[in-house]
Amino acid sequence: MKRLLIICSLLIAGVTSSHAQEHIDALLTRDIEGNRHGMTLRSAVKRDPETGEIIKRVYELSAIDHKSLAKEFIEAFKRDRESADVWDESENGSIYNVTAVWQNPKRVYSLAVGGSMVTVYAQTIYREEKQSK
Amino acid sequence: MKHKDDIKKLVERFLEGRTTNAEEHELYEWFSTADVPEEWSNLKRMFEWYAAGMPADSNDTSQHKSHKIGTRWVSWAVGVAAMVAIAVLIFRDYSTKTEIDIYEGSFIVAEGVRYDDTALIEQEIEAVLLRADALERKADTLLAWANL
Repeated sequence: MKRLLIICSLLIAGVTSSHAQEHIDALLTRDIEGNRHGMTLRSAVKRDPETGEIIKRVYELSAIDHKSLAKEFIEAFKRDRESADVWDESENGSIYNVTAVWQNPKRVYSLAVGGSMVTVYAQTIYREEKQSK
Repeated sequence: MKHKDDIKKLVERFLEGRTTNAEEHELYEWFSTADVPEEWSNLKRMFEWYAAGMPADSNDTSQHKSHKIGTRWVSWAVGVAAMVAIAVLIFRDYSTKTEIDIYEGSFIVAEGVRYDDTALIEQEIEAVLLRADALERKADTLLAWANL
């Protein structure tokens, strides 16, 4: 019974977290599959060197001359804002920055828009890394 | 019957001289009866030779006993050295092949072209992870401020 409860909790947490950043994730997925001119997407996976288990996954999207893309991401971040545990927004000169954090698992998303340049980070940290001595 | 991975560990311990007599006999038995993979054929020959009591060349018909003992000793030593060298090479190669790629699954898509050979994109992946670390530190600070 206890095991069943744990599995149910994990499933609920998984479903909840998979919807928490749904608008941002949808845009990222679209741009991975339909990568366009002036756009670079880097997906970095870091694994435990002993077990091969994934520690973190990071998506970094950078685009130049895609003003409409900047607007789309700003809108997506705003739509996912409500579910974020932490939201930090700033405007420094012509650069607009947003950092949003969700927990369990820890997800850190960030958006930087300046002129015609857009940079988006989306990282999921599945577990803390062992500190090397 | 032990699993191949258990045998591999046992062989590594054997080559480091850390096996007990019982474990050595277990290895002799495994290599003489199990379905030994092709890449381990040299190990199989080595353990069969050990199991047979490390016989010298069967064509040795020398009439001089002292010379015969000396020849046996030399061939035994050369045989052991050769077998150990082969085993070390096999296992070094094996462990290199099974080494975990910590960036496996990483990729870059630029101008519609996908690159997923982690050996080629390693530096870029490391740079992304560094930038991500900085962002994660900022997130930790924000969480701390929010008492979360």
